[in-house]
Amino acid sequence: MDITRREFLKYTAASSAFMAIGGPLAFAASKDQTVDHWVKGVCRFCGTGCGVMVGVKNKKVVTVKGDPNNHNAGFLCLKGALMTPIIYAKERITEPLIRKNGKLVPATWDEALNLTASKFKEAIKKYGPTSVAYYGSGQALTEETYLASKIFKAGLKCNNVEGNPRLCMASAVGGYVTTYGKDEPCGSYDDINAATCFFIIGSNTSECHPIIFKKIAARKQADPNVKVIVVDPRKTNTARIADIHVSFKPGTDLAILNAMAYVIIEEELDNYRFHSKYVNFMDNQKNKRTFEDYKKFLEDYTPEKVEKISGVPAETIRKIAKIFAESSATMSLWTMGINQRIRGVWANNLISNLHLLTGHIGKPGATPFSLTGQPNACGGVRDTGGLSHLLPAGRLIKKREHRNEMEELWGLPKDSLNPKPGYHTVALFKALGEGKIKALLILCTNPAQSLPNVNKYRKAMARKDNFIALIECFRDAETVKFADVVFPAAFWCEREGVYGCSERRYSLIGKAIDPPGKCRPTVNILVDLAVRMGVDPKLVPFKNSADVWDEWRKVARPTPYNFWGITRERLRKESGIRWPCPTEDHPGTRIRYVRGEDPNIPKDYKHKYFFYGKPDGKAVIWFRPYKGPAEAPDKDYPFVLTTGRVIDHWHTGTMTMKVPELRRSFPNAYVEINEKDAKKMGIQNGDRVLLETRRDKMVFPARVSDVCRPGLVFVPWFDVNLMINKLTKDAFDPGSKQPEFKICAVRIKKV
Amino acid sequence: MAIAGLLVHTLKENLQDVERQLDSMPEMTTYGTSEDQYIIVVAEAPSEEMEKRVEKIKKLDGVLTIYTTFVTVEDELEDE
Repeated sequence: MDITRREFLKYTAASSAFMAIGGPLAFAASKDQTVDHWVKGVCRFCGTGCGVMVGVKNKKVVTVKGDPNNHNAGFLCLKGALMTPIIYAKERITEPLIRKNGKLVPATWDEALNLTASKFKEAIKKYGPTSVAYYGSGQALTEETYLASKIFKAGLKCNNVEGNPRLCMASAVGGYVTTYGKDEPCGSYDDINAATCFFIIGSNTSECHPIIFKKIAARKQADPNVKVIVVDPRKTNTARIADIHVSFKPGTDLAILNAMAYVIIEEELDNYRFHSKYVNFMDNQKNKRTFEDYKKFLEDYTPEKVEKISGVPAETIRKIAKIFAESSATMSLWTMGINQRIRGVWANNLISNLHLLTGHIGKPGATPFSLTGQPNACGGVRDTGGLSHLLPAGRLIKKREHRNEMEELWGLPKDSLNPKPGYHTVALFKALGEGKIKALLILCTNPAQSLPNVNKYRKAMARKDNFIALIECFRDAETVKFADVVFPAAFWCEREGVYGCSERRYSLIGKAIDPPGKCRPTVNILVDLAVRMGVDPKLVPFKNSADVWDEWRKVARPTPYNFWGITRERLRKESGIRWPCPTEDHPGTRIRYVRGEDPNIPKDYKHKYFFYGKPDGKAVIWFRPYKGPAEAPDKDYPFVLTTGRVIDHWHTGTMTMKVPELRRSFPNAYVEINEKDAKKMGIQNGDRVLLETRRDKMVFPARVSDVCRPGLVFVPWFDVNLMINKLTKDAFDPGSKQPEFKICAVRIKKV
Repeated sequence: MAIAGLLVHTLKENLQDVERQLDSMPEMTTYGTSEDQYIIVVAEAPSEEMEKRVEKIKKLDGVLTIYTTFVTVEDELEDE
């Protein structure tokens, strides 16, 4: 490479950094000669949804940089910046595959599609539409999930439509719906720049959502009065910027949250005007109660009582409750630590309780805000209704008026949709194991590694009498081992489509390059498959994802999810728009449920707040009692095992393990042990440690540190060779049906 | 060789010292600092070496975090 060209590349690298911090424009605007053209997109990894610019040269992606016009303002984490090797991985599947004599062998598209269609048709004919299922993902495009859900629910009359988001944020959905009547956060990332207190609970933001953490760290640095409270049994990297890190006995956070409410009322820091006007108090049996009843309920949760349950000193609980309430704008952030629990919905409610009690809601910087794990779980699966109890845009299968509305929009006869919700994820894979599901289509996810207590469900997938078809990009994804047919899909920027991130922002991923070999965009695969399955072609008249997008806009238009104004043309021009967005000249919405901000509320509405998801327009403060984990430690299994991500890997590692830099920084899973526990057991860094739960056992190298509290061990779950989900428990929340990945009992031994 | 644009975020009191240390590393070029203690750096290294060098920066006193804004492996692809 000649020196001049190299200099250009260096200048481009530097200018991208300058732009990220809003540096001098003269420099940033220096003529870019490194690539043939740039295509706007969204990062493929977490739910932060950072805008990216994909640099194409000679029809190949050569670079990825941050989009200065999206919310991430040009920043990317290392994962996001290193997408290129994944596109060109040698493990890419480039032709359809059919399993013959136990081996996947190349086939034509017709063979693979016809075989799959015939298996689905045969199952439906013999056993009815509930004998087939779809398992999708928050990694699929919005258009793909909407279409798959429509094909199964409207075309096949089958509601067994599930996906990875059930494992990831179903409890957040349950929390929002029960508290506010509608799913999705009321605030946005803008709140980070206005908050004066961050209450981070059950989220290792620093490693799992690095760019959001960057915004929080920058906010704190800009104003030393900004307080950061991190509540987590691990002293994570996130905890290291905290003013107060609260470690607690895993599984006792519901008690802590109730105790904070107790202190807020005791200290008269509640916002009486707000909650007397905009809030209903409700007990667990859904009876309306009074503020006085709530105070009585909270008497079981004095800081002194909760100190005994949680191990958090009463004084610390008082202190954080006061900071939460006294700050001028408090923003709560949480993710899997709250959601992946047998009472995840309640935990979500209890966070909202604190906001509704103090009025820290609907003002810049003051909001509850759940973070998402997958890039398009919100926009794709939650919004379009890609789960077994949902219809598009917040409608419910069990509600006849919602079904009738969808039947009209989809041109179906009245009362023709199946009124019975399908299996939720754990039930679906259990049914697969019992031989009740005969044919399963899996799109863009890896359940053979990501399900809890995964041995059980791998056995289910391995049954010889069921048929599993996969739409997948990588042949080394664990689930491929169980597939009878694999359809090769166009990856990420090889086709156009929409991702919707944690803050209700829809952004377009432009098509930058052609897919390799015989790969096709998933929308086309789904349409082709549906027609061959016998679905009425009038239900799937889509040539591409843009066609699907237009129908989805129409379907959402009569609801408060309204984003009629987010046209494809606008998405191509702008770097993401937040719904509700009813008209093409509407800029999008940063704060919901507030007059003057939320376009769903008439400008002359008589009150400032309107929680229109609820019949009387009031949100709910729930009386949710403390409930411990499904499997608490005991004398046989005295430790708590928790799992999670590390900064350089994402989900099952199928993508990030293909990037040499990322692979080398975390080549394999390990067990993180507190130094005191390690000393007691004579364990040193790198020693081999056997972890055993009631489900399975496995040996991990030890990492001794102060991150875990004593009695707790942590294992990251990206590693396919050390699959920690063989040890985790599949107990789930009775409301959200989300499994409790975060807590199970384990014993450990040096080997 | 891969080329990466980096932002190195430092504590106020360590900013100058970190910048000086970066300047002494042959594979790093600094392009100035911002008011909120970001140093703009371009790193050049074979991609398999890049993360080691970034790790080295992370360990310097006063470095809070490092953000990547740009990575190109264009010439590595050409070499194939």
